[in-house]
Amino acid sequence: MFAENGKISKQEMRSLLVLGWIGKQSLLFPILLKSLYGWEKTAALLLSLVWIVLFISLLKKVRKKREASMPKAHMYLIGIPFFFYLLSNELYLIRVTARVSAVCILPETGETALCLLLLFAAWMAEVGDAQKRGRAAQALYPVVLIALLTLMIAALWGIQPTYLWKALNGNTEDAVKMLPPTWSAGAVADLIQTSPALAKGIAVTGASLLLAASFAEMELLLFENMYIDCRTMRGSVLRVMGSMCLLTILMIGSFGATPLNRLEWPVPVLMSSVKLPGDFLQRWDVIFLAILLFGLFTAISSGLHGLHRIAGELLPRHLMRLRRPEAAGILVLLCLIAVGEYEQAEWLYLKLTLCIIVPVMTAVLLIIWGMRTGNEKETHTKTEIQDTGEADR
Amino acid sequence: MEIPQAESEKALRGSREAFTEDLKENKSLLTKRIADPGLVFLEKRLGTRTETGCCLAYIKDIAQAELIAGVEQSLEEWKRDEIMDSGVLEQLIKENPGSPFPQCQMTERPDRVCQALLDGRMALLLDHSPQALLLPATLNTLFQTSDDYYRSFWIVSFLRILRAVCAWLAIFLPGFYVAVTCFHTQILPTPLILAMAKARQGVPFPCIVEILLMELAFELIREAGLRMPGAIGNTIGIVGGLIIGQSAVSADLVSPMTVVIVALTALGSFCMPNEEFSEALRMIKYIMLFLGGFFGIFGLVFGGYVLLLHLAELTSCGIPYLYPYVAGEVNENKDLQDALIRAPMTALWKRPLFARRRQRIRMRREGKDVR
Repeated sequence: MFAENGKISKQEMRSLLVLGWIGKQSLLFPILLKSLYGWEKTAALLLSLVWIVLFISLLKKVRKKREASMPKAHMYLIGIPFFFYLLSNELYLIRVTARVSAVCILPETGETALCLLLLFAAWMAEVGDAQKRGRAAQALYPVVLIALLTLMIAALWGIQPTYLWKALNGNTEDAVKMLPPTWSAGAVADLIQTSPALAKGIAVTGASLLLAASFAEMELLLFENMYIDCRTMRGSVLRVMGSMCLLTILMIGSFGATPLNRLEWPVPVLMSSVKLPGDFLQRWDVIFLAILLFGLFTAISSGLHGLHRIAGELLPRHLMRLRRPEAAGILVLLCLIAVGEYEQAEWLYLKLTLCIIVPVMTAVLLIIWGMRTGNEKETHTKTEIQDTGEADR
Repeated sequence: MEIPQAESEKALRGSREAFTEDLKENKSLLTKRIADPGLVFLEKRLGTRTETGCCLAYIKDIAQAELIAGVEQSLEEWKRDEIMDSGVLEQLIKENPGSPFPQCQMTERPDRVCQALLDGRMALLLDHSPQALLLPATLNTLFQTSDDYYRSFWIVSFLRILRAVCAWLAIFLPGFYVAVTCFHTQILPTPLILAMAKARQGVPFPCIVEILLMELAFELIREAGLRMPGAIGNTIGIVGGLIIGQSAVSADLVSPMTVVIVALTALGSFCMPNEEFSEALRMIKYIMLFLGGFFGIFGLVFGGYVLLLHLAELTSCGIPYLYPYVAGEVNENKDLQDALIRAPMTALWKRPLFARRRQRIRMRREGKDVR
């Protein structure tokens, strides 16, 4: 009655995806685009949209194959790296949320307690009715979006047009200083000196690929084909990237392109710098961050759901008892302890997962799609030859 | 028997009549308002030893057959020696018995029941019980009063928004106050921080203990006022509140700000039209108080998210508790016209989701298409 598939409606799914990604990308995308300067960040965001749309198309094609029939081995090839992606994504989300909360709003509280609360909330979201998370996200959706809109409008008043103009003109010298040390060594430094445009192009492309990789949880399309469709996924990504683009422009205008790159989490800093009329509160960052936390809670609960779901696909029958949300929660908890602090979780996600595991995932999908397309063409050709032969007789 | 006046559901406009304790009289209070021959009273006897008369009322061509069948089934499910009151029945037929939130809407007003029946809902009347149970019940219906349809949409919309703010105050205000005082003083303007610090001078308890003491004192006063008869009960409420509050402040046990916070919280919970819902909010505020006291605004967000998940999980006769704020697209989001903001009466031409799909149109205008 309340969802075409009996579980979760498209609107609920869209709310889940948008909220989760807004929460995650608000903290993540400035880190991924740190090596870029000013308007290059916006260019990288827009280019990453292209990669994401291509990735969704690839998922759609592989999904069609899966619905037809797919060997179990292929599912393991897809599922295992994806499981690792989801696990490191979850660890990163929990750690970064705890770290940002501890730094910005609760300086006297230990991160461990916050991590446990986050994990508990994610577990609460996963047990019971499948539509629970979707309905909660649908109820929170207007609240978070109105808060985001309010933040953007308030930030608009504090923009310095000169910062935007300077960012538009570009500043190669500052850009070079902002690059990580490895970039400024050897041939890359020469490249920057001789062909700054090419260097910038490489940097923008690289950052856009990283940013697109951070949306890799879209691969859930293959496993939850009843609940998610490509159109909803694409629409959700567009909304999120549109918001991030606007935020980027506002942050450049508020802080300047160079100082922006020095901030670890510029979005919370933007929240603390805005003033709303009336002077009812001196600072609004605590309120805005609290509302952003709802997005992060949604992302973390979705991550735990993904882990639970993929584990259900990969585990053999005799380990059925592990196909429970509690098992996924305990696994995440153990990994949180094993991985350690935020810096380790960040390295694991940004360096290992985004740079190695996601390309492997994409390559596997391409191979599987290519293989099955090749096999199907062969079968189709044989069928044609047989038909022609029979017709001639 | 003389028809009593509604004591617990006062309204500025509309009928003042309330149900009696006689089932036949209560049925006649409904039939005199609804002349529709489709009005059905399904009679049952509940309680193996008490054989209490129970009646499921609905309008045959408006209420959904699946919902009726579901309620009938839940009435047959429990075989208990006695069903003394509709409250017992409510607890037995609840879909989520572990939840403190009501999943049936209790009312003592016949006009409210008639409005609900015409919306496609059902009513359970029990002999010797002056309260009827309305099903399904959603958060939206629990925020509505009977005279919400008798007044201008501007006023009603303002009052509904006020009730939503009151619900927020009732749950989060004490926790928010403690969180801001202990963890996030930087968000307050400097003169306010100084005033609060000055007011708290000499108070020996931490902020969370202050609030807890005053909240518990308020609960004691409220319970004592309820149990004492007539005028004494009223006096206890007034005197107890004034004397205990004033004395506590004079003795520097609590700060004046704490008294204000507790008073606002209490007023917030009293503004809820549904008493059971108000009680659930009063209970949850203690959890939020502890979360705010230990984890600041992060704790309140955590508590709010878990509360929202719980509400999202609840259903009443299969309909989500948060409807129409979630899943509103099932009825083309038309039910949002009668949610937080009420549309003008001329725009409310459609029945809510509870009604059969083919009976959703409730209003026409001669010569014009209201759509």
